[in-house]
Amino acid sequence: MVTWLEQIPAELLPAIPVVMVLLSLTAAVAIFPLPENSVKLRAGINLTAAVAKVLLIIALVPAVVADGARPEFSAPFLPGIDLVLRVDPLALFFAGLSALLWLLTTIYALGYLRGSKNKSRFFGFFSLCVTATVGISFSGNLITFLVFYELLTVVTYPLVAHWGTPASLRAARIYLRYALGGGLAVLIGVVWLTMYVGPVDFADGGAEGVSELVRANPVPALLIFVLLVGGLGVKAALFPLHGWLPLAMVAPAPVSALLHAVAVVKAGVFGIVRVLHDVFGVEAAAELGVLTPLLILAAFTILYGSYQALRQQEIKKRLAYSTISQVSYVVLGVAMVNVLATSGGIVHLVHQGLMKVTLFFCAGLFAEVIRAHTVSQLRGAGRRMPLTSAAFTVGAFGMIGLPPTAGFISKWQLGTGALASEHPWVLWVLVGSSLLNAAYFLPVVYALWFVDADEVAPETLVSGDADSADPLRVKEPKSLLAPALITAGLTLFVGIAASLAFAPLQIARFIAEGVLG
Amino acid sequence: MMLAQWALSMGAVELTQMQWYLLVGTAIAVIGLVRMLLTRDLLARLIALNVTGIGSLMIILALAARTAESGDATGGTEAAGSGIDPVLSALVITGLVITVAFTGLGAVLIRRIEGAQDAERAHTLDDVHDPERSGDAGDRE
Amino acid sequence: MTAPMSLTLFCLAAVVLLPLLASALSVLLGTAARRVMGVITSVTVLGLVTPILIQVTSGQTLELALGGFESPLGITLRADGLSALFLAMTAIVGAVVSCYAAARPAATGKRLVPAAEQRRRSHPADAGIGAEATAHREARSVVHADPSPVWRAGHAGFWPLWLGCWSGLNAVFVSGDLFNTYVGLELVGLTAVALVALGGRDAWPAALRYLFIAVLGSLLFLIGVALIYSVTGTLDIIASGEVIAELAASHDADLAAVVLALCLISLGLALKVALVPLHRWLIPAHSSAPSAVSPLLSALVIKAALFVLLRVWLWVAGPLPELVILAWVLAGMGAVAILVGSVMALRQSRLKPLIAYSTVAQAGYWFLLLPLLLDPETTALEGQTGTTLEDGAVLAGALGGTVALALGHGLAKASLFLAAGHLKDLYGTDEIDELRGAGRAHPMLVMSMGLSAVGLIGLPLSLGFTGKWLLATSAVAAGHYWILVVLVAGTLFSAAYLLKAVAPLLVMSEDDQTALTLPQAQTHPDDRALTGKAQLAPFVLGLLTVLTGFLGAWLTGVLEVGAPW
Repeated sequence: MVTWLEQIPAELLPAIPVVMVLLSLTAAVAIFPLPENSVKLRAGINLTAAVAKVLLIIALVPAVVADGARPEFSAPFLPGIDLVLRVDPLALFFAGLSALLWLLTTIYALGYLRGSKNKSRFFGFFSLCVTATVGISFSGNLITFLVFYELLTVVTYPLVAHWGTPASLRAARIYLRYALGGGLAVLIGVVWLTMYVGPVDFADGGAEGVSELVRANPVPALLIFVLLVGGLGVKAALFPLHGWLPLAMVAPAPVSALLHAVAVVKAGVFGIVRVLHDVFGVEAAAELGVLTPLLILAAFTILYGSYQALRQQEIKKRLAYSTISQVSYVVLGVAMVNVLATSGGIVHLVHQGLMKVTLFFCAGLFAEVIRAHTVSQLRGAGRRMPLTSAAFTVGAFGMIGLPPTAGFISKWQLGTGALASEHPWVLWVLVGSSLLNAAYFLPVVYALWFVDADEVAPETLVSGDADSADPLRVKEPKSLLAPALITAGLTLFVGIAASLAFAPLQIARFIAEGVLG
Repeated sequence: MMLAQWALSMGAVELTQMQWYLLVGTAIAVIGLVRMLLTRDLLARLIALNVTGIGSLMIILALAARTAESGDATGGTEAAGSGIDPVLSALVITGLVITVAFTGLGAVLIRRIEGAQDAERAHTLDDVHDPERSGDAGDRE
Repeated sequence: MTAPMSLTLFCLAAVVLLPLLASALSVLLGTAARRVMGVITSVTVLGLVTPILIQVTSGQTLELALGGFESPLGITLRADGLSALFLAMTAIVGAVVSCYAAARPAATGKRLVPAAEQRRRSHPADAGIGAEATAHREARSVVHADPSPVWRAGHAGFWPLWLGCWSGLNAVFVSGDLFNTYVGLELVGLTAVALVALGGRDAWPAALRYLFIAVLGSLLFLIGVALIYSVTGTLDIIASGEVIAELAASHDADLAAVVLALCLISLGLALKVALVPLHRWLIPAHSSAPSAVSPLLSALVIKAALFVLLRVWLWVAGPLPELVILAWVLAGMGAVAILVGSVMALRQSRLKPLIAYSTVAQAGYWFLLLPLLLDPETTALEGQTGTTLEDGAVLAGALGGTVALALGHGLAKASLFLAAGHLKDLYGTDEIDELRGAGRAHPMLVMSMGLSAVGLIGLPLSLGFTGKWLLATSAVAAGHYWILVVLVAGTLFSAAYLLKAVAPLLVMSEDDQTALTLPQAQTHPDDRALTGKAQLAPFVLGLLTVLTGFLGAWLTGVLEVGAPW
């Protein structure tokens, strides 16, 4: 399969990032004016764009990872500053994640929103959201990153507010408040940094001039770092900037998937990785003395998120706090400067995405099919929806970090990395967090499989299938079930096949080695 | 008043004719302005605006005379020596024309506003069971 | 003089004279013919501006002595980068709004017609039935009193007035001397007052108030101009700037007159721009004006005063240290304007006053650069490693940022006002609560409001973002960190009030049926223009708001042409 892809002419490569951004933008522009009832056309546009995007990513992998090509496109934007789209391994990594999950989430959303209103608006903004995410991943300098980062903020607002209920409007307003505030902090940081070093082009080992700045003016450099990471930390839901995320779970399930696994939270944490690796560079960051505080903040967020998750009875809220905890693994990994830990952190970008998207897909299924919103309502669901429950179990095991799931790989990398670093105590954070993860996920799994269905409250008995052998067995809509099963399968696959070439772990290690030499 | 002080500080201690004009013009402009801000009667306001306009144009005329007097010093070459600077005179004439145009427009507007108010008042007397409209009219007065 | 050059110079004169001529001619025409003429004129002006923009972009300042007279009495037209950019924005907004007004004559105001005529023409096919609810209410309430006239939507007086206004705007932008600037400003002011008055009885008091302000502002400006002339002996913008620079260079010269002139001019223009605390007239004038007029007022008319302000501060006065107090006062008023305008905007429950207050807030941004002009040293970062600043970068950045903000505001606010006015005409109200969920029925309108909100908040991509970026970078370079604070506060505030305006229209609960009980378009089904192509106008402008975000680099390049540094 790879043979025809390797034949992409080199001169076409720079066009690919632009094409990918324009692809979902075009999809959005095409979808917005569609009338509500043209369901097929809308689905067609969505899926075509999503599939095309995945194919383009696959086409880029060999050239970028194996041949070391860096397709780049730039256009003048501000005086002395260009809009730069560049594909490097990290960009490809993130774009690949978002493209794949976009495809699956689109399929899921098509099924999820069947029969509800405002679909053109929803899918239009959905596509815009992905446009922004691709732009973020391919950004070649801080300004370009900022442009797409703000775009992401704006276009996710209507998605979070989609239901239009007072609760969702409030959640969306709070989300916007947090995100715009964070965006402004980033903006100020970018302005300031640009004044010192000019257009901040991402480069391995730090942008040009930044390490000199750190040496000559440590105080402004430190402030800039705090502004950038603080601003990005809002979307990455770092403690204490995480307040919007649990509220935003009122959004439709595909949007939650988007927020937690594909776009928003990931964009924040991806930005932090970029700032650390490609703007400041780990050496300069170490010189600034910011790595240890960042590590401590991430460690605290991990434990705090897990603890809060334990206290939630609502499934989606529990998942939301779990995201806060899990995403900080990425920050934790990159803040421990060694190849093992960094690759563990980076690979967790993908692993967490796969696992969390599985869990949200399943949570949406439970909510839609048997109206189960809280943990106690899930009792006996394993018998009624065995496939969904199985997928949920895989996701939950992944989150806990049990082998052979993807989560195990991440935690193994992070753990060994912690032992190799100068902060071995991090291992205890990982252990503690895993215990907490187990404490809040295992009861759910237990309720799914081992509590008798007789305890199921009668009002949750919806749409039981009388023809089937088991009267309690419910049929899930295929378009909702299939994505959940695929992501669950992938969670297992990337765990088992972590040593294959082009597996996420290998690419992550490649990136980490590139950064750390 | 600032203008007058400045004019005083510019040179002669005793006021020349030009400086008198400057002072008087400023005074007229300020009086007009104060009246315009204080009165609520629309027509009086329009007239006060005109007074301000006249005062301002007088200031400019005085400046024209001054420029003509000291033309050589400041570079107003064509005007040097002659009575009044032509450029500033042109400015004054344009200003006059424009003020007249604005006054006309303002008069039309005032007539319409007050006409509408009168009609409303008459209407409210005829037709008392329309409280919303009489409320509107009350607001405007 | 080469042939293309003379062609461009012809364009320079034509952009002023053509709309004036069309304005005069249209008085003689009937209603329908005026519309055709208006659209043709607007497209022609757009065509005339293009060669000017191209020529200026290539680095050439255009200059034309009209009628062969040289200054001071002759009319000199001059187009540099600043002129070209404002001309272009005016042409774009003007053309789009003209098309909108032609497509929806009902948006151009309302007029009293005798009752008999009303009855005779009770169901015309294309005339504006989509009148505002007030018009209907009035119509209903007077219909039984037979002889009294009735309000009808649509006012053909819009076309001569607007074309005259356009001519005045272009005259201000290409004027080479302060005298013509004054005449242009007056033409703009006079026609703008009359345009507001087209809004019918409710708009008359607002128009009158606007008139007082416009005249007062002009008088102050005129005295200032006369003072400058009495000091420099010339009205030519560049020549007077040179004289003042010479005076400033010789240490013994007394610049009190220049400072006084700048004070008067700035005060007069601040009145016209509606800088807080001189802003109160703007709210009724802009919110009660007809749907096709409000965008012109907010996007273009106040920009004329801003343009003159920039001209006087940068070209005529130059960086005189004596002006530092005035500069700080104006910038302080600008900062207060952002605060006050935003807070007041947040307190509005109706769309058009909210947008009008947002104009007041946005106007504050345009005054922030003044202290930077007097202190353009890159002191803060001097001697730093890797600093990428050159000389003049602060000035260029500050001016570029301000111009980008102003132009971006023009596009975005025109779109926003068009959309809001359209909704108001459609539903007979602009109460935000009652318009809840309008986005479902009119996605394009609400989308264009969203796009212009992006521009006004200053999110990327938009000219607003470019402007804030340029202003912020030059502020940091010059060590004026307070501008950064103001920009941040302004951004947050504008996000808050625009969210308040747009979000309820965009998002509504699925089971919320209030939208269906709204005074729907069904009450005026005859006005097909309300649901048809006219909606494209705000959308085009909204799209331009965002697309022009790519022009940041180009814009600063164009501004370098004929720049005073």
